[in-house]
Amino acid sequence: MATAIALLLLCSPIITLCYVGWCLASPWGTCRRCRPGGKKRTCRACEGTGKRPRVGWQLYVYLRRLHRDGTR
Amino acid sequence: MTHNPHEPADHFDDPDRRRTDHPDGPAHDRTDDNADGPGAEVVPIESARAGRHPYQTPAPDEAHPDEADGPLVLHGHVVRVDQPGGDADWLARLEVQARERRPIVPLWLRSRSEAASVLKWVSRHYLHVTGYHLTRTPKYGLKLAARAPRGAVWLAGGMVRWTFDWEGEPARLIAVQRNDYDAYLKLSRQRDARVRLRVPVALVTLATLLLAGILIAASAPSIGQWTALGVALAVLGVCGKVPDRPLLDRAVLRHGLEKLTSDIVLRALGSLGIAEINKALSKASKTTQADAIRFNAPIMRDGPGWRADVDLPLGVTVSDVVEKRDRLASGLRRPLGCVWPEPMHGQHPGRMVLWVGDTDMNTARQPAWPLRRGGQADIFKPIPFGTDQRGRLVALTLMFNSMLIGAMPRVGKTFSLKPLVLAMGLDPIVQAMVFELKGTGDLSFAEKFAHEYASGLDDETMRRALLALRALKAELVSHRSGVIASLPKDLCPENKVTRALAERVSLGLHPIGLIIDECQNLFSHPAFGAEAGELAEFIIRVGPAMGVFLILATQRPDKRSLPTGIAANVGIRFSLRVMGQTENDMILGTSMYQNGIRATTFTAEDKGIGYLVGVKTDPQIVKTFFFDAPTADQIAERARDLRIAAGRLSGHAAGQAPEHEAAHGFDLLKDIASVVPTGEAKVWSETVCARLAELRPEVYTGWEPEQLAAALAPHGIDTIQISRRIDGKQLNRRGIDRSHIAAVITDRNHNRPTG
Repeated sequence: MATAIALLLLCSPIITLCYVGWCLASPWGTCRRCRPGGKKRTCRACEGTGKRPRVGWQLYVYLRRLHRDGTR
Repeated sequence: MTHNPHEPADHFDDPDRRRTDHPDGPAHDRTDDNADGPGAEVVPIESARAGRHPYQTPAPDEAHPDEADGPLVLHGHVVRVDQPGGDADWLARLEVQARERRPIVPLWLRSRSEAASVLKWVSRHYLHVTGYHLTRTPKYGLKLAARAPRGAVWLAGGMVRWTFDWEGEPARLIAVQRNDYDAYLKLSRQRDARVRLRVPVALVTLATLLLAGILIAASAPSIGQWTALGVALAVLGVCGKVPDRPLLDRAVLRHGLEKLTSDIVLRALGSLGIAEINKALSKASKTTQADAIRFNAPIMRDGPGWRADVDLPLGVTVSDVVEKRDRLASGLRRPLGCVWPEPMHGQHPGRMVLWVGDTDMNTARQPAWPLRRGGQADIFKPIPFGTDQRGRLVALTLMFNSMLIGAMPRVGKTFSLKPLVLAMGLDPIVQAMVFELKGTGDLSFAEKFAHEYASGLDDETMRRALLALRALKAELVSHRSGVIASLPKDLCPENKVTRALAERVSLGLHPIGLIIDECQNLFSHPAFGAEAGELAEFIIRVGPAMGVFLILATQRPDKRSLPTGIAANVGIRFSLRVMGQTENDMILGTSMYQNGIRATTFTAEDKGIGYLVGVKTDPQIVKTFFFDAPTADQIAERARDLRIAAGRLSGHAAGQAPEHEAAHGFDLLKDIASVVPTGEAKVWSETVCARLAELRPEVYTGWEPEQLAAALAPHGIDTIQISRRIDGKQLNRRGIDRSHIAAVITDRNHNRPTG
C-alpha cells in the first residue's frame, strides 16, 4: 500500500505534465456525446462540430478568467 | 565718439577692446582679409592719412568687423592683447590634466600594511557585530515568542480582510450613500470577482498549512519539529513587530562621527576669519566664480579618516589655514589632533589636502614596530621610525644622513631616539656609539650592543664623547678616505660605501653611528665645547659619504648649544613640541615657521609627535614608535645575539675598553713607549713606525708617519719638527717627543681608576 502511494506520488507530476503538454499540443478533443454515430448536427455540447475543448483546457481557461477578473 | 588717433588709452578699461599699437605685427594679414567686408568702416580721410606710415602698404584701415563701434587706432596696426584662438596646444593641456591623475588603486590599497590594517579593522568590526548579536540570540528569541500571538492575530485579520476584500468596503458604502448605482454595481462586481479568486487561494493555503501542521505535530518529536515551531514563531514574531521598538539592539553606537561633507568644510573654513575666504563664500552662492572654494576630488575615506582636496580662494595659502588649525578644528567640531591641513606637493600653494581623522592622533592606536618581534634591520634601507597621522609607516634612511632631534623637555625626545638606536643595534655591521649626556640611563639598553656607551652629566662622560668624536675624525681622515679612494671603480662605483663593502671586515668600512642625546651639554661645555662642535661639524660634513652618521638630540637649539655649522648641515630634522618660532626654525630650518610648519602647535599631550623634515619632499607629521624599557631591553638582547652570531660584538658591549685607548687589545701609546727607550727624547716618526712594525707586524705594518700623527691626534699629541744631521746633511722631519707620550699615559692611568 505504502509503495503504491509512493509510486503514485512519484508519477502524478509526470502524468500531470504529460497531460498539460497534450492539452497544449491539441486543445480540441472529440465530442463524447455524439461519438457513437459520428458527428451529429444537433449535438448541443459541441454545437454540431464534433469537437470539444479538453477538460484540462477548459479548466485552464476558467482559472485564467478567474484570475483576470479577480485582479482587475 | 572721438576719433583721436593718439589717445587710444581711454578705452583700456574694457578688456574685450584691449589693444596695442603694433607697427607691423602679425595682425596685418588678418585685417587685410576683412578689408572689403561689409563691416568696413568709414574713416575721415585726413586723420587716416596722417596716422598712416609713409612706407607701408596701404592697409585700407584697421577695422575689424567686431569692433565697428570701437575707437580707432590709426597709428600702426591693432593687435589684441588677448589673442583669439586656442589656449595651449593639446599636449600642454594634456600635461596639465595628467598632473591630477586619480589613483587606479585606492590609496588605502597601495601599501600592503595599510590595506591589511583596513581589512583587519573592517573584519574586526563585523566580527564584533556578529558576536554582539549572537550573544543576544536568546533575548531575541524570547522577544519573538512574546510577539508571536500579536503576529498571529495580525496575520489572521489581514488574511480575512484580503480574502473578502474589506479594503473596498468604504468605497462601496460611499457609493450607496450617494445613490450612485452604476458605481456601486461596478464596485460590487469587482469585489465578487476578487472574492471568487481569493477564497480558493486562501482555502488552498489554509489547507496546506493545516495539513503540514498536522503532519509535523503528529510525527515523533525531533529536531525538525522544534525547528518548524521556531520558524513559525519567528515568522509570527516578525509579523507582530512594533513600529517604534526594533527587534535588534544597536551593536555600534554612532558616536558623533559625522561624515565630512563639503558643507562642513566650507562652514569650518568660513569660521577661520580669513577675509578672502569669507568673500569667496559670500559670493559662492551667486555664481561659480574663479575665486570660489573648490573641491578637486570627492571627499573620501583615506585611512582612518576623511580626506578633502580643497582649492582655497585666490591669494589664500595653505599656511594661512595651518596657522589657524585650532580654529579650523573648532569649525569642524573635532579635536585638534584630528584636523590636519597640509599643502599638496607639486601644486600651487593654495591647494590644501585636509585630512580629518576619526580619532585624535595622540590616542590613535599605533601599529607595532615592524622589527619588534623579529628580523634584522638594514641600515642602508629606510628604518621604521614612526607613523603619520593616517597611520602609515614613516621610515628614514640613516645611512648617508645626519639627524637632529629637538624639542622641549619631557615630550619624547629620548623616546624618539629609541627606534633609531634599536634599529642600529639590529644591523650587526653597524658600530653604535651612544652618549646619553643626561645621566638618567634612558638609553641604557644600548649597552648590550653598543661599541661605546656612556651616560652621565660629568666631565668624564663629556670627555669620552669628545674622544669618540676625535677618534671618528681620525678614522675618517686617516683610514676611510684613503680606503675609499683606493678602491677600484667596479667595487665602489659612486665613491660611497655600499653594503657589500661595509660587510667586508678587512676594509674596515662598517657604518658607524654616533648618537649624542642632550648634545647641548657637550657643545656648551666650557672646556670641550668648541672642539666638540668643530669635530661634529666635520663629521656631519664628511662622514655620511663614508658611512659615519651622527644623530644629535637637544632640548635647547640655540647658537651656543648647537653650532650653526651643525644645524645647517644636518639632513634629517625632527622637531617635537617646541615653545617658539626661534626654536622651531633652529631645528627644522629657517622660515619653516613662516611656511606653516609649526611644531609650536603640538600640545602637551602630543608626546612623541613631531614634524619630520628631510625624508620626503614635504615635511611630515610623525608619531614615533613607543617602547617601554622592558621591550627595549628585549630587543636589545636580540640585537646582541645577532651580533654574537655574526661575530660583530665589539667595544663596550664586548667588555672592552674604548678603542681610542686600547684598540683590539693593543695600546698605541704603550707600544710607542716600549719601542722608544727612555734615553731617546725625540724620535722621527719613520723610525717609530719601523720599530712598531717590528713589534706588532700584524697591526703596524705599512704605517706611514702621517697615519701615526693621525692616530696620536685623538690623544692630544702633536708631532713636532726634529732636526738631525745624517751623513753630514741637516734633515728636518716630523717626529714625536717621548715625554708627551709618557705624560698622556700617566694622565690616563690617573683618570681611570678601574684601570
